[in-house]
Amino acid sequence: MSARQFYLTVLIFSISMRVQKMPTIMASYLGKDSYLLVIVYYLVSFVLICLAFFVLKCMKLYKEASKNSNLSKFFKGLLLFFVSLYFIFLSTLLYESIQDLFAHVLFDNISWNLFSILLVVALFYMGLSGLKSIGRLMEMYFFVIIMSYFVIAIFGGMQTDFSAILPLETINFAKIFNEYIPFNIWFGDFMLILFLGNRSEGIKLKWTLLVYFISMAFTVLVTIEFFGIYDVYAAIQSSLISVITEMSMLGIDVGRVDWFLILFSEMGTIVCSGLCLCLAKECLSESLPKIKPNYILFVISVLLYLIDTQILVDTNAKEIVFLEILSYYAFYLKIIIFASILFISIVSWFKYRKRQGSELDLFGQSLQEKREVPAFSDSATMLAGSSHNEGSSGEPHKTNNLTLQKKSNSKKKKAKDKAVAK
Amino acid sequence: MSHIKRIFKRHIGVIILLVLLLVFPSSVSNQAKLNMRIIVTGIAIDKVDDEYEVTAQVVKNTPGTETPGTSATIELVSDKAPTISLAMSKLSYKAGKVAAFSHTSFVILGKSVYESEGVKCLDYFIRDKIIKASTMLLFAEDKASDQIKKTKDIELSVGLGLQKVFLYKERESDGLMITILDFLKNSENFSQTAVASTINLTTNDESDENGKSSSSSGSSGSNSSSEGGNSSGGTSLSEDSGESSGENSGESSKSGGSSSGSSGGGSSTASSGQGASEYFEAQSPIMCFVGGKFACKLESEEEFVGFMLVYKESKNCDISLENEESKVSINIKNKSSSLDVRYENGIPCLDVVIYIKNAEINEILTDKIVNDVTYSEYARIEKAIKAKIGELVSTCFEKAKSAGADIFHAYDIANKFEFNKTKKLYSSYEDFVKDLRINVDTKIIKLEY
Amino acid sequence: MGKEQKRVRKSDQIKGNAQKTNKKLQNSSSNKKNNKIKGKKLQNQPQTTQKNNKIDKKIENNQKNHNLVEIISNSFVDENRVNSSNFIINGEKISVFYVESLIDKQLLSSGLLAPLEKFVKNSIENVENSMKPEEKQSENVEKDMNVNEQQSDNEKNNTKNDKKSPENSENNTENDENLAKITKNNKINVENYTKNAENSTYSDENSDKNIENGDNIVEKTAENVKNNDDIVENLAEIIKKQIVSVSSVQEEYKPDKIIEAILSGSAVIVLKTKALIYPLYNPEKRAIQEPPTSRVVKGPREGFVEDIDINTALIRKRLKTIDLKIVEFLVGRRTKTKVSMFYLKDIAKSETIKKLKKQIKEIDIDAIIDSYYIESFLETNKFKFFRRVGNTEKPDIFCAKILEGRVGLLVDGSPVALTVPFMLFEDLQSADDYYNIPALATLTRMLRIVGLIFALLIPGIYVSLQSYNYRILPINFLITLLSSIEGLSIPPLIEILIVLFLFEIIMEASLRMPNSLGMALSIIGALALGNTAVDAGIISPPSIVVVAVSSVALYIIPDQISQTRLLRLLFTAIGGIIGLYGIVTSFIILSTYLVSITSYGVPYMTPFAPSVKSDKKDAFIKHSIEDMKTRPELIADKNKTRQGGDKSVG
Repeated sequence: MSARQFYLTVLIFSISMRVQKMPTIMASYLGKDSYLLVIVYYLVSFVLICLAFFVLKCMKLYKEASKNSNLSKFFKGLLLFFVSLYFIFLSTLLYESIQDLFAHVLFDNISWNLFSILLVVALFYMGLSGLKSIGRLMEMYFFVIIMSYFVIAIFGGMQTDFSAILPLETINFAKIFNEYIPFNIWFGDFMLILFLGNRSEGIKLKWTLLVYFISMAFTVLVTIEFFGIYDVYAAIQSSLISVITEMSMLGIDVGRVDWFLILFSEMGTIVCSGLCLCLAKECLSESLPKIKPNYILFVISVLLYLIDTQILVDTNAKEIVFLEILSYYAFYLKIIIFASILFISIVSWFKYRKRQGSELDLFGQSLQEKREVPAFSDSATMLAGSSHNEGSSGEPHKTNNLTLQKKSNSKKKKAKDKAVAK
Repeated sequence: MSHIKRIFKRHIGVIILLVLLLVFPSSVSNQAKLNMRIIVTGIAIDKVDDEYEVTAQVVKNTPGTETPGTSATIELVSDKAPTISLAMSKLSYKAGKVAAFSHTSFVILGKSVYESEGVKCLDYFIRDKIIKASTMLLFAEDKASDQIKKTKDIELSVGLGLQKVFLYKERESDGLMITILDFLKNSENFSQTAVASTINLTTNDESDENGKSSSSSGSSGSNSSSEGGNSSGGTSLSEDSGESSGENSGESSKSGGSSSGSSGGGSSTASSGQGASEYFEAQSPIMCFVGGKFACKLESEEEFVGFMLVYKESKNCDISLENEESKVSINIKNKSSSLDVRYENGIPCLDVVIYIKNAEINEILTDKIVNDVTYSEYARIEKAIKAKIGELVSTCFEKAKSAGADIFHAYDIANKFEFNKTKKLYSSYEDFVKDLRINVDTKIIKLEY
Repeated sequence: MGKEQKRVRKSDQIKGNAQKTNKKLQNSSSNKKNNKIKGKKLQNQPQTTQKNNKIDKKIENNQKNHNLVEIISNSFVDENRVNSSNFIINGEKISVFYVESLIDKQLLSSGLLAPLEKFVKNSIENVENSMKPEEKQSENVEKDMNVNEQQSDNEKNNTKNDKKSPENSENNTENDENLAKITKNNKINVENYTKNAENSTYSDENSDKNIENGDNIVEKTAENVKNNDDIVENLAEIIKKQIVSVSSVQEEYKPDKIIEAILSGSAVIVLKTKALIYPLYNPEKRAIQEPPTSRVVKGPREGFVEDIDINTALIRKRLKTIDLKIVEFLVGRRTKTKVSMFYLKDIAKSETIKKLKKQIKEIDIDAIIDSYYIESFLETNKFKFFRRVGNTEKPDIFCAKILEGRVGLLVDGSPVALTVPFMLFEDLQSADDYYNIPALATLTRMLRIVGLIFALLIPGIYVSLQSYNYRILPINFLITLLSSIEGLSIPPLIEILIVLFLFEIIMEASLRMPNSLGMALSIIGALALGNTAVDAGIISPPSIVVVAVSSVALYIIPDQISQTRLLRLLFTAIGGIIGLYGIVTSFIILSTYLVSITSYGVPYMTPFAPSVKSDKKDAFIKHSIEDMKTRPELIADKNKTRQGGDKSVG
């Protein structure tokens, strides 16, 4: 993925994730102060993103350390397994919001069990095509998606009573921080930056932060608009994106054309769900290298379908319980993963910092020159290989086949040893 | 195993296609097809014997005639049930097809409902995902079903576009277009005061002479052929239609009289004059609710205009000034208002500032021929306008205050912008309203003559 | 022509053989195996190369033992297309073979046949003048014998020709002429024969003389042997340099090549041991016209024709640079179709060139009728839905694409030129865009995109709105729609599919309909569809409108018609089954596929996915020509500057 694709993907992902069901659930807990929780989450995300970039830098150094260590491989495998579960659940959240929109809002009475098969097929195919295709897809749809979000925000703003968030004196910060944990599942940006950033080239911290700032501004705005339009009735709405434009269609006698905008924006959600699935596949295939990635993807897709149709099915109570469990799981998982990664990064930073001037790997090649390592080739990498190298031109760079050769040599060696043993 | 794998790999596309074809027959969804649906455009709710009587205005389709939407005919269907949702589901299939509520544009609550229990029945409409939250809310001064019956005789573009009519009326300070969501939101805020317009369709003299046939006189050619059938189309209305039209004609003549005045307005006709018999009443009274319960009705012209002057959505307004010598008619083309609450010696004071951005002296009725308005006369007129506006707004305010209604949402403003003080001084809404005073200021930016 | 012949010799294709050897090859079992992979790219076939070597040896043996003229004549024994004219010069029989329908007749008669006849005539006169009366008598006797012999030969040929086809009547007249020539030549024969007889040991009459001149005889016979070979060589030289006035000539010794040249439209003078090939190919050709699918309001109106030489000339006319390289191939075992590859060596990517050359060389098929055959081989993907090879019928577009770094292909017999690599957005561009103001070009491109979306999605959206998402529709339109579909017995999806099907039938029929019936049948179609079917309650008016709009919008991008037609059906079906949600999801699947494919290393959706800023100047919003200073980023890998830079290049 190129840097530009990375930024666009992150922007769409961060918006799509937070303008669906999250504001309605937040409104039932916090009411008019929902936007403050959103701001708090984003501020925490800014810090985590900076740390993610630090970790990305350290990962290159760690690569050498973990090459010959079986323990690190096991640890890595275990870690990646849980990370993949995390991405599956992220994908589930987006999937569920798509279901909510189509099954409950746009359609009257459909058999979602059958309808969602096509969605699973689409996600499966996106996962199969890889991150490169998803990045290009985002690039292609970006203008349409962002314009639809923009127009939705404008339409919503026309009918918003912005004074609905007042009075500020009633803001209960204690309650806001109490509700921090249940909603953290929607704010998994550290993981996304880490794993997607590892597969992108040329990404910079300042642009990532700018993208997040835009996302924050938009999310906070639409959250305020949502509450300004619906006030106490915000909690009983299905999702923010499907209702925010309803009131602005009154004077225009053209039906519900805002639904086309919603559909365009929902395309971004579908692609983001595919992105999470793809990342889950990549993490899991690193964790279980003996199984073919496509089979893993198939299993993940089926799992996603089952979760959505069996657990997150129309009963709201089940959904809430599931989400609560998920939130706590996600929260503690993130802490563990974050702590582990940070610990390893700091250790590797101090340990291998001495070689920072030359930054050579074991083959004597400079790490700066060694741009492209094909994914899944080097089991020593800590987190799912490095990028599918595409520059801004999209032209693939020449790959460094040394690692491939090494692997094939080791295989030959093993075969020889076996033959000798026999 | 490898053989199976090979087949699978080679023919994966065919297999997926087969699976999809098996899984997706055209009857996969439980949805009724469009030609099995009937569109509900309006709902009226009354309470009869502790049950809700829901009357729905549905659009009748004439097959194969390619009838444009503006000339289709309306039917009425109704049913009773202990709850609104039960009643709605009962009348869903009454017309022989599945009712589609997604295009419902208005809901009329009858007197029997709002006087007995307020507006709690509106909870159904705010929760239901099919009916939009932007559906207009109207009140009937008597039976809602009578009013909805009369909409049948209005030209359909008006009948279906009742919401649009009220939108324009609102802009012209002739009525209010309040959605269910806005009404309920206002009921839930600090002020707990919500307002909405009434609908009062009057019958003209011609149709009064015809008596019972007033409801069946066609509004346009395409309606006339189906009118005979339609007048008894609703299953539970055939008995009532004769009676209700008689009652209404009596009532409407009363309200028709009250609406005529020197103010610009008069009864606005709903049809293009091809024999339509129903008319909207000008300046329909505004119903005022506090905490979901009926509080008062702003009936008189002064109260109505006073409210509309402050109401932000209305832009145009007509006021008239009168003294011993002359009568002057002012047309306000563009206005806005700002409200603020301050405390004077612990007493809340609502400052209302009305900005007249563009106004015009339409008419001067006096004995002498006025060629030009002198500067002193102009100043006098301006002064008179300000005084009149102050008077009108105060009248409205006092009427609402007397019923315990904070019609201009002063308590809401006070809580939002002066929360601490308000909390300290007036933790109770009723006390606040009791002590609330109003101060009206008018700023005329442009007055043409 | 000589160079081309050399290139053809150097190619690694399976050589076309003489008929007998061909039959043998076909009958052999190993060939049957090879025939299983007919039409697919050739991989290593050592068996056939070995056999080819054997065939060559056979031919060489034949050559030594047999006359080349006889071999060629025998090859065309049952062949009526090929005409021949026979001459005997210096005792050597020479034949001129040609295919009349392919040859430039004027050049043939004036440049080749007439000079030969003249030469023969002059020689006869010289002989006659130098001959004595006694000798003339003996000549006459022998002459009669020879004439009789040759007459019988000619009669045989003539009868055969008469039996075969009516075309032989023309040949007969020529044969008669030739006979006359032969009779004249016989005099030379006799002269030469007698002269030879003086020196030869075969003549009885002159045997005494020969014995007398024993040593001289031996020497002279040796000389004769030499002279026979020399005679052919000398004759060939004389013909080349002195007789025939056509400049380009190529010598050939192998019968298969000679036959190939004859069938390719060359006039071939076949001597005993060699042949002289004169390229006089000039078949009937279509005039250069504007192609019907690429009409422009402003700009050049030339279009390619079926003749590759004319097409090459059209390109050469525009690209007068030494960097333009033309590589030629002969593809198709039976058709020997000429395929030319064009590229600018200092711009095009070498990987693309190499890959393309390899692909063309590997094509193993018996016939190439149109450039689409080549295109099929170049498309490496199994799912050949979206083409990855561009095509155009206009030389200006072709040249423009080559200048961007693409590699172009021309195929003889097809007016459609191919270009690689290809991106989807090229179909949205039109020649008109480059010959008008940029603002108009931008507007028309937007219109094309909107038209494409209309064509693709409108029927599906209509069906889905009717089936599932009626809530989107405004109330007035909804009521109109309801009253239109009231009483229809068939579901909306089936209705739309019926209307689509009817439209497809009408479109197909109109392509093949005679003009005289077109008006009448279109009225029937309009009335039947527009009025009667609606009145009968089979279909509704909105569905006709929707399908009509979609069908008209199909042709806004002519190059994508086939894909759009098929996808339209798919989206309609999906919209009818699972509504707008299905359309959105399917569109995402389609987009994912499009962004994942490449054409010769270039992503298919460039310059949008991946985004290439410089290339977007010629995308949706067209910039002026001055602003487009560089070539497309991903197509050309060298010499990317179009404007400014080194002026010595090109």
